[in-house]
Amino acid sequence: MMVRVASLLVIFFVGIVDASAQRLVASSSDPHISITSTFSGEEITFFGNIEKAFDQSPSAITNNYHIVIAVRGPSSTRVARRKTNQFGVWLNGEEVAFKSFPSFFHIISNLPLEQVADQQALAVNGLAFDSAPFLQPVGNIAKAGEFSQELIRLMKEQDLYKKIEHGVTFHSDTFYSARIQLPAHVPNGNYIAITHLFQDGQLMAKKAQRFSVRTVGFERFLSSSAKDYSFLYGLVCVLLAIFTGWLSGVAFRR
Amino acid sequence: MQLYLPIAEISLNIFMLIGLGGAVGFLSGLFGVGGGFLLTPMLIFSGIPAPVAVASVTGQVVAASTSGALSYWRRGGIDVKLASFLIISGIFGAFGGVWTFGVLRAAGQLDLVISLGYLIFLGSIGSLMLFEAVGSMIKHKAGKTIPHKLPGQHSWVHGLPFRVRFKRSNLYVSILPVVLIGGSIGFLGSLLGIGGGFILVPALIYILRVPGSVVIGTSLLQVLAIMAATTILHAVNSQTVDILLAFSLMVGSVIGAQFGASAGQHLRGEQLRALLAIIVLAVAIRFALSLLLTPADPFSMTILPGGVT
Repeated sequence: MMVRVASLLVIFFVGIVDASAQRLVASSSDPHISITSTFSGEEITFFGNIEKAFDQSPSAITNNYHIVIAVRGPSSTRVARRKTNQFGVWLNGEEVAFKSFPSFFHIISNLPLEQVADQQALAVNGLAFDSAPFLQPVGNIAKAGEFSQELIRLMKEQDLYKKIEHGVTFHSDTFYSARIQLPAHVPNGNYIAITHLFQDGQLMAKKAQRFSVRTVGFERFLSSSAKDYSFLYGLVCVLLAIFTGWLSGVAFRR
Repeated sequence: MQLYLPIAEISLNIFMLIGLGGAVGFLSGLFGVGGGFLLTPMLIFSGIPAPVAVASVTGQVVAASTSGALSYWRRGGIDVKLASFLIISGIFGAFGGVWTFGVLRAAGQLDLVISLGYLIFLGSIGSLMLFEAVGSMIKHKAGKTIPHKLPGQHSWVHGLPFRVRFKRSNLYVSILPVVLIGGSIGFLGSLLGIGGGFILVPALIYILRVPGSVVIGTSLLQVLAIMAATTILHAVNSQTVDILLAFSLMVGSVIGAQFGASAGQHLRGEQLRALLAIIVLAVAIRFALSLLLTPADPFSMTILPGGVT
């Protein structure tokens, strides 16, 4: 494992950005996740190293580091609906829409988040599912609080939202890795993984990586044809059906 | 083996899909119905989003009715003129159905209308069929001959204006009921993902008095044409037709239908109808429960189309 991660580190070495006291080198195993016909989910590995700053003596590196990785998928407008009983029948009665709602959100840390930093520091850095940027209700604002919690619960039930405490492993004082499981129904689109380095409750460094989840090959061809050439797509579907029906009529004719 | 469905955006076991298509195909071969009214609910109950289930099953119904329609065509069992009137009005109905489908989907009430629609239609048709079948079974036991109401007897429907002659069916009727029946079947079929054969056949027999020799073939041709149009309308309008899902179901159902048809020869007509009625009622009851029982989770979520960034 260590050897593999280390070799990947060399391959996907992405450089150093942060100018704060500590620097963070971070990367991931796969910049492109391909959804093929047999796709049943995929594991993606994040890893990196905490490097000392130029003006730091080696002794300044302590083992008091905490890594929190937020992985977010493409955003869309999502509606939470509640069934209410009207005239004896249960039907969708109330709804609240949230715009720019991430379709995928995993937070992976090496310790429970409350031991890493306080609520406010986490919220400011977008390390809570209900941070303001991810919950922008449209319309029925009065019910937004309740509906947002239910929406987050529904997302958690589908493994699209998840908090993984102890998901980040330190292999040495400074070298870490983390693995997350993308479920089979992972949404297509552009993903961003932001690795946060905390020390004593303070954010020391932050590093963003992007990766994409795309259907490829035949599946991509189908889903893009369905959108771009919808009439032709429908026509092909009908011809396929007529052919299948005709073929079975010929094959089984008695 | 998992198969990723590109439109439904979920992975399902391909053998489960073919098996589901096969089971429904068996029943459709057994009873001589398209099976859409069974397949759509089964897909919805197995986790496929209702819009994708409805739209993809329309493709499967095309395949299921093609082989039947072809064999009736060869035997001359289709009234082409009557079928074209039904088809043209049906396509207008389908436009209305697909439009309603889109509006309801955006309003979040599509699932409700699908459930209600199934409940009402399956419930009433199922009860009627069960009463009729049980009635004739009792009479059969008592040894009485069954008095058939002969097609050709006139009713008030035959007094309506705009009469047109349908040679093959030996009919001279107003086109108003024809257009009304065709339009309603097109509307309901596209909205609920059913071919509508199980509504169309009784309507043709009891309202228009279409003779038995052409009723099934004409109905199959109408279902085939309407469902083909509906598939394209759904593909263009809501982009919810999953071709891989539809194809897996087609393959299963055309094979299952062959076995169903041979099995059907060992059962008497009224027994078949009673069995079908029980299945239809069971599906209706399942929908009734989903509407009437307190849901385990009152909350649901969906992505609004066009909102992806």
